[in-house]
Amino acid sequence: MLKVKANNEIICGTEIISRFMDNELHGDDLITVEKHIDSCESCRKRLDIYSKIGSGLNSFINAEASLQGQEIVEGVISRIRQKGNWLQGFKELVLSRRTFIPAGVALSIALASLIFLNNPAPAGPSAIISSLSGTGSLTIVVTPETRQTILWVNENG
Amino acid sequence: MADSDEDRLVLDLKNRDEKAYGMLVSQYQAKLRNVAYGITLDAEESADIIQDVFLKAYTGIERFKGESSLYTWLRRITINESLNWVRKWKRRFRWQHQSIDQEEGNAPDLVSDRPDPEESLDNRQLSGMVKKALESLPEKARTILILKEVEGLSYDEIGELMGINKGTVSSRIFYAREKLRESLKGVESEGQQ
Repeated sequence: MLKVKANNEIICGTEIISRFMDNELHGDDLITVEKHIDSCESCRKRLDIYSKIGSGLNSFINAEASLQGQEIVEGVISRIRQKGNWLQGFKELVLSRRTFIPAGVALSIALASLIFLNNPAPAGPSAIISSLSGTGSLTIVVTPETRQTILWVNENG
Repeated sequence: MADSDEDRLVLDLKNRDEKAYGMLVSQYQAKLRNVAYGITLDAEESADIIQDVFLKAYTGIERFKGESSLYTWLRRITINESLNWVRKWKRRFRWQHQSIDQEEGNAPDLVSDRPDPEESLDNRQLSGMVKKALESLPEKARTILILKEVEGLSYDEIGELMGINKGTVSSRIFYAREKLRESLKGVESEGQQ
């Protein structure tokens, strides 16, 4: 509550008139200011000017805002469509096999490289593959330091 | 809009229904543009801001919990976007250029359908003066005045929206009115003659 005193000097040309204009005074404050305005031409004039400022602002802004209304509607819908398409496209891309397969391969290579780099190669052969007939074998050796791969083919078994 | 209608609209918006977005934009764009224009005082920019606001609503509709009305939510986004724009461009002195345009009589013609060219010129001049007077206000005082005069919000509602107390709202509105009264003194005395 503002506690407006019934003193003309406190009301005239002050924020209280602006509050009165905006229906922001209540109870005793409202009664006091109403009484004051009845007898004060200066405050009535100020209220009139405030009211003109309000209606002037509204007409000025309304006139501006009435332009381009349809353009805004169309512009927004078009941008929403683009956005919607982009979102849908992104979703499809993420869920498609085209993405899954290369992404899976890339991930496997990255993981394998990580494991490979962190674990030094064993000193012995990495693998020995024998032919089904038992007449030959393939030995794979990876050098521990330089990490070169040596393929040794034994055709006689 | 009735609550049940709005609930249905929100549901449709969350389901990305294009028709619902069309309805939302048609329904609120003019009102929101009033707010954006009142803050930016730039017709084209306020149209762009409104488009961004609706796009933000599209991407962020999931976050709308229905604690306020849709319009209140959109208005909050509009105020933030508009104030951000003003702050950005104020730094770049853009408004000085607009003032020069006004002096050359390029302010928008508010009553172009009227045949009397002199009357039209008077209105253009008046419009230019109102715009200039509004430009002279600090953006926060102008925003608050627009929320009061154009949106018809109470001091409590404005305070909540702007994150300030009721007393500050009251003093800023009073300051803005007095500043406009001073700036438009010439217009008022001409009208009385």
